[in-house]
Amino acid sequence: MTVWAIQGLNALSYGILLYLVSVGLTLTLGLLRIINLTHGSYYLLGGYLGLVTIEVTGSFLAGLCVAGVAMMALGLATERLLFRRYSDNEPAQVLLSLGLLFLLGDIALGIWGGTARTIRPPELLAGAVPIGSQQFPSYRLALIGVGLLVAIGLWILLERTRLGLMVRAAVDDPELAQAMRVNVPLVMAGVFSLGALLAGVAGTLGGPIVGMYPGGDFDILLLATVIVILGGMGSLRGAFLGALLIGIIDTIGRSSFPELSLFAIFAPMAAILVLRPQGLFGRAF
Amino acid sequence: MLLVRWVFLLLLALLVVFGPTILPPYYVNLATRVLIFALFAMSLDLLLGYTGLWSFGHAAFFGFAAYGVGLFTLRVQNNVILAVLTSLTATLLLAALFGLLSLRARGVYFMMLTLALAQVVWGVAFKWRSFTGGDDGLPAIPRPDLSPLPLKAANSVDFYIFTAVIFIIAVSILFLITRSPFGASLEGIREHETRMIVLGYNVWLHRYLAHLFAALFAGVAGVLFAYHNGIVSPIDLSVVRSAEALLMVVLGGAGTLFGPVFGALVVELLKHFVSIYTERWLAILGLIYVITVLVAPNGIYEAIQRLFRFRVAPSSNLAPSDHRMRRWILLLRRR
Amino acid sequence: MDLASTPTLKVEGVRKSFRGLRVLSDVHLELAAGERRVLIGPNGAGKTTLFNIITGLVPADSGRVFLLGKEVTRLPAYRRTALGLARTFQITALFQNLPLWRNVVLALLGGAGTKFSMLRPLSSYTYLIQKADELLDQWDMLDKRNVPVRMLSYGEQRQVEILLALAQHPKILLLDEPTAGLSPAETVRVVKLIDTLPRDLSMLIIEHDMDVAFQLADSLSVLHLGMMILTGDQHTIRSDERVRAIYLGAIAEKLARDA
Repeated sequence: MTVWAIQGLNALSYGILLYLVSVGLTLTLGLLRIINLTHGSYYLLGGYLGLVTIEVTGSFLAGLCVAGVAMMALGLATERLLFRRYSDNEPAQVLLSLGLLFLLGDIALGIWGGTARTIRPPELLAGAVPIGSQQFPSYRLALIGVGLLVAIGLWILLERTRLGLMVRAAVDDPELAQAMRVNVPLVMAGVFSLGALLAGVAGTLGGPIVGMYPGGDFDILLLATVIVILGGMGSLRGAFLGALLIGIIDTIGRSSFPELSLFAIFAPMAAILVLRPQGLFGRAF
Repeated sequence: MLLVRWVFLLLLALLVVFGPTILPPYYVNLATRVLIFALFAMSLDLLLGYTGLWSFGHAAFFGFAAYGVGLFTLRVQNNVILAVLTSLTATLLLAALFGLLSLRARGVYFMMLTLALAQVVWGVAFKWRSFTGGDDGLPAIPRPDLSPLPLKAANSVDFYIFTAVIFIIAVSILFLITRSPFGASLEGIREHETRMIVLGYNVWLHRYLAHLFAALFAGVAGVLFAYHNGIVSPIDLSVVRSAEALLMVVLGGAGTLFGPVFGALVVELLKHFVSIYTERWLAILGLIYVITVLVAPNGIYEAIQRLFRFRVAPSSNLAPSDHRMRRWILLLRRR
Repeated sequence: MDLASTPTLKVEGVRKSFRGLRVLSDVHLELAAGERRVLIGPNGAGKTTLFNIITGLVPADSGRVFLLGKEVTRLPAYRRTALGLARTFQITALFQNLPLWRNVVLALLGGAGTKFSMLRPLSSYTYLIQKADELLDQWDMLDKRNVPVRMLSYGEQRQVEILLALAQHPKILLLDEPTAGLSPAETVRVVKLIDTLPRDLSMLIIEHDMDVAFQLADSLSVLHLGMMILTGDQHTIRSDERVRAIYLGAIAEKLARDA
């Protein structure tokens, strides 16, 4: 019984982390209809920058801030300078974002080397909490808490504020939103930055759990893409549920079929997409 | 004029087949690799550039065929004809199945579905150690016995010639397909699917057939790869391979058929040469992708074409030598 | 079955809802051979949806569709073309990046068995290309044959839209707002073109411009909020109370003035 609780909490904490990364991707794909594969870089670089900041300042919070702000700036810069010019050219977007992904990933490799790095959780959360007869890391519990707060915060922002209304309008029908005096380019820039910020913060938050390693950008990108497709592009609710689902599958997969973790995710996804090609919450074609 | 064109093409073919044979063995092997991946990329272009279907799982067919000849040669019989036939047939069956599943989706969902299906194949290759060798793959695949052809496959030059001839045959067939009414239909479907439906085209069937052809040619490339490389491992089925092919297509120019050849050339040459001088070859590759988008967003091939068109001013003040140059360029353009 | 009296198009009890919103309710429509019917009605009345159902792009929730006496309700859209159905779109649906001649050839190829031919180059099908050139010539567009469609003017594109629909000699032509967005001069041109089309071609035209509607129509059908209000000749429509009530304002007055 306790084992299930522990596993469940593990899955939940991992899922929440994935959710934070997927938010940006689902909004970018669903709203801007831009394929931005660089999203994985935001996570990885966020983690590395957080690591450096923490080593220098000793403050985990500072690490989170730097990671978030730096990635927000990066996201904004790439959107403004690059992606905006190719809004109708899908091959260009793929080539561009993948090129950036390679470039940034390799630079990271050059700077931080090939060994996996982890971040030490803040002093306050370095301990463990007893669950049944086992101990469960407090950090993971805190992560779940933080993630839920963010999820609720985003939900309130999107569903209950005027700003959120504008974003949802822009997601549903950009042309109509523009006609309704919504400043669509500003909304797009804002959404893009928010997504990058969350991914960067997630990179640091994931430091104690997943860590940073060469190829980490690809791995997280793949998972985030699966989540976004499963949950439906542009759907935050879908991203949340999808992330939890993947978190569960991945955690269980890792413990039961260690070599097959990716396969364990793709097989169900293939099945779901065959039956429902637009994802669980996506709109029908 | 027509005769000149055929002579030119023949010379080009001979150049491709025999040109690189004068190079040292390392470069001959590199040239072989370039042709194999060029074929793989071109097969993807049929799907992506001509039909507008973004497949992130095309390596499944490439790798599946590679595993096919490997397994047949190592486990059943070292007979190249049987191995290739069995492998390609199996690959076509796989494509037939996958096409039924993946073509239910569109756009990004199609991308993910093709990726997911490819990952399933990868998972099998990875997990089924006893059959496929797991993540060690299939080592030591012997070169095929090419008799009655006067070629010894173990020899790099001979193998290159063999590959080049197959390449040219495959390219010719692909060329014919893209220039045929079927190819024109695919373009129409890519440009405006609804209009095509209303004009009476069975869009699904066209896509399905394109999918089968693309898989077949990817399979041919896979077969050549297995024999050339000697080793097949799960990475040859993976998303990394698929992404590589995708990048070659986009880099060279989607929908041009010959563009991907340039793309394959650039990627393979970069991989081999840049890595000699610096470890950061991936960063440089990434940088090249970014620069290409900024400078030539429709791919290298289109940029080259534009360059030639730019040089050839369609006016009467062309010097006689320019006329000859113009004929060459017109032949090259093949539009 | 008396072919002369079989309607070329029959729509029976068609209903359609999108996400809970009722778009078409119990729509009936019959088109006789050679009849030119204009479908009018305020925006959102469901006219284009009706077109989509007739052509098979969208399935009806209930009801039946017949083409030349044959039931096509479940027939895939691409098969309906062979029965003689053709259609234009409100938002121009052309192959923008392809040259004009290729657009026409694709239209012709759609009706030919050779569209699956893979090993002969398209350029060798001279009869197809000649036919395309003939069609372009008839419409005075031969000089633009190599121009990519996106470079043609909007008015020219609307003409090409109709040209493509006619390429396969259809028996029933569905025109979705053929004069939308055209200048007065272009409108006159297109109306003249439509007017001179063969008389045995049955047409169903969606039109917002009342002048055009009354010029082209043998009869009119009024669709409002998904319901077929009235079908009749020009006089019947003009003098009907319900129709006037639907079209408040200038149009209603115009109707009254001219009646």
